[in-house]
Amino acid sequence: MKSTPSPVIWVLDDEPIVRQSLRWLLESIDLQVRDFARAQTFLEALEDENPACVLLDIRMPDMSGLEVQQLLQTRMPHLPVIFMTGHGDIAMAVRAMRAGAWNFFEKPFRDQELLESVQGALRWQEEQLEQKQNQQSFLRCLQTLTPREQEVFDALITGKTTKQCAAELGISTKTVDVHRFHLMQKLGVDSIATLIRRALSLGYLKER
Amino acid sequence: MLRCQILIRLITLLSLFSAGMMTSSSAQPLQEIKPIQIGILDWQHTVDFQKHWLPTLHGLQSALPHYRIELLPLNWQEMDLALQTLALDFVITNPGHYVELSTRHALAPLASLQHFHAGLPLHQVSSVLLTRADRNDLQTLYDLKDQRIGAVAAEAFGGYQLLLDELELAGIERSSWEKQVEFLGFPMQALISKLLAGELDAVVVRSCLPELMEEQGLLYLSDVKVIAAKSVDHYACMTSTPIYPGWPFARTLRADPIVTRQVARALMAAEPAVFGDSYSDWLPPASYQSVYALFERLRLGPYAAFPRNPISAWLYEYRFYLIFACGLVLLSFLHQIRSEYLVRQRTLALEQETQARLQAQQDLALRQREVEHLSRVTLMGELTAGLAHELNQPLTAIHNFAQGCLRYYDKEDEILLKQRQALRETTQQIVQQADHAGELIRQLRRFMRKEDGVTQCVSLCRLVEEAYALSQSALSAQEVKVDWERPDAPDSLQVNLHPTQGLQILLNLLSNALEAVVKQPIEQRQLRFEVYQQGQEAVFICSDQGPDWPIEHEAQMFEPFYTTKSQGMGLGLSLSRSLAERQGGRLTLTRSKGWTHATLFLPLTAVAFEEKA
Repeated sequence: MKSTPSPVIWVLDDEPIVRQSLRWLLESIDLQVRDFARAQTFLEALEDENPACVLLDIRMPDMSGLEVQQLLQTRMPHLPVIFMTGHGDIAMAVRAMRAGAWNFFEKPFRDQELLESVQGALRWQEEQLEQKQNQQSFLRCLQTLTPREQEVFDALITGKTTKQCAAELGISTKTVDVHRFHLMQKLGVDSIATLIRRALSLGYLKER
Repeated sequence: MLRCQILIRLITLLSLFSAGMMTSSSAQPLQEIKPIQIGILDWQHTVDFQKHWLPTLHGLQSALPHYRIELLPLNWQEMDLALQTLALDFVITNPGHYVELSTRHALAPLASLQHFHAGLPLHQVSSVLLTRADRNDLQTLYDLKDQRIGAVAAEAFGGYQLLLDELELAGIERSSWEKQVEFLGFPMQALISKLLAGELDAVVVRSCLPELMEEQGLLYLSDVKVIAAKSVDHYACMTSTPIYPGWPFARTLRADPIVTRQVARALMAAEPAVFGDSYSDWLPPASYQSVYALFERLRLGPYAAFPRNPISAWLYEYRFYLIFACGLVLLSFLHQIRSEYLVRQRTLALEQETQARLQAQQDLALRQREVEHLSRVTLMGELTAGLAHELNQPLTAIHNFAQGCLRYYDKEDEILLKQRQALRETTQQIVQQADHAGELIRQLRRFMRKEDGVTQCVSLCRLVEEAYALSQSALSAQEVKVDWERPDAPDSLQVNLHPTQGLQILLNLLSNALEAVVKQPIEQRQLRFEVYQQGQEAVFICSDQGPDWPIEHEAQMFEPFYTTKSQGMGLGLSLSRSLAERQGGRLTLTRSKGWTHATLFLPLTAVAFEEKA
């Protein structure tokens, strides 16, 4: 992960001085900053590559921060959004948080808190990315299973015992054990419990 | 009527005597014998008048054989009338009467009568005040207070008036004295009888009467004594008053000078007439000056008309005019005092009124300033949310810049050296932002300060710009869009006004417009500013698309405390209008095509106007 490109902080605020100062602050802790005055240019420039985080001003002339957040939700749900506002407004804060904002800051804010929040967001995103990768590899592994192994896997994750599986599939318990051993090897898990957790995290059971 | 009767009697008398005389001297030729008529005062109608007087004048008849001497007994009124009609040649009367007559008729004394009886000088006149010898308490005139005093008559010269003079000279009040005097009439002897009988405490009688009565055996002088006795040289009788001369023989205007001369000579040459104990003769005329003086003092006879005190008499005579005049003076004086008082009252009232008005004006000015200030504070309150944001920007920026710097300082020197320029620029930014915040605060303070109305020449556009800057954040917070096309030469519209008050008007209008549009949906939240010149005035219009309001409410909207806002005092518009009017401008509120226009007219400064022209 450390070899991944340095995180990018997207700053969207109509006040140039705020942008400038945020850039200075964020760069001082070696973060890459890309700032925009208008939502439109920001949305055009936005890339979904690096670990990133968005600092959004709620009140902007052409498009409000909440509108931008909505757009981001559909486009990049894993991109954490941190709101900044000069007008302390609880209702607005609640709205933003409900819509999935990472945090909400009232200007003037303490830089330490903002930076910690930013770093927290980045960490969370990294975890998200990691998890996503894990899931993807898990899915890839699932596709390598034989049809019989697949059947055994389906039975196992519903919590059935070896005997029940054997009875259901009409095979011997010994054969079930062999299939189980193989599929666990393919999926890279060392226990049934891990297997079930992985399957659950993928929402596998729901599909059923 | 009385006068006629007297005249008839006089004529009768004259004719009677003439007839009598004629018969007595019929032996002489008629044409040679001329009558000399002598009037003699006889008010008591003496019975033996002729007998009484003829001896005294017998020398006269013998000295003037060619004249027939006629003696006429006349009372006062008859005498006066006879003199008036020139019916007498000569007059014999008492000194008092003589003095009185002499003022009305031309009389000159030729001789004075001298008459002694038993050595008593009966011809001279004076009064004596008697009391019983045993009345030791009565010594002087002052002791007579509250005593019963008897006298014959108030008019009696020797019997009363002489004493009255003494009293006055002694300073005794005449009016109080007169109350205790009883006038009992003649004869005088009766008075003495009453005194001795104890009916009276004192009596006034003619001098020599007591001596005469003693001589006749009617009185013992030891039974009586004199009060306030006076001793006069060569005067044999007791007296309480000075002595006045005896009866004069006076000529009238009718008397022929030659006859008068003969009469005078005859009187002086005549032998004294003697009867028994008494004798009488004529002496050269005595001075009657003392009688005149007495009369003057007593305001009698000729002096009766003369007032005792001329000034007081004059005052008394003209008392009605004087009272009237005094009344007038008093009235005018009172009027003067009253008008003075009224003037003073009015002046005082005016002064107080002026004072009160001044005070009220000062109070009003103070109150006005307070209201203005309060209104500004309220206005500021309305804009506070925006201002907080306005201040937040630079503060946030400063904080971020500074914190960033601190983090850089913690890095290795190598990196720090590379960032040196950036650090410097950032620090510069910090300074700029701090200045910006400071300026904002100053602006606010300037606006909030209670300033006196010092007017300045300011550009209306700049003022609008400032008001806009102050309210911008409030406007953007409510997502209100402002459409302002700034004029090409913003400094050309110079107006003379107090900047704070001007700003207050503009902020009020902006705040009102903002409040109006906030009620509308976001797409209608729009304001439009216009600044232009119209004639000699600079015009600023703030238009908004706020909700409609009835045009007839315009006047009401400018009334103080009229408000449609939940949090307003309703002073904004009324105050703005009065402020505008104080700057010589106007403020109107109109509505057309869904827009409300608040229009501020301000007079351009002369300089600005000339430049334009």
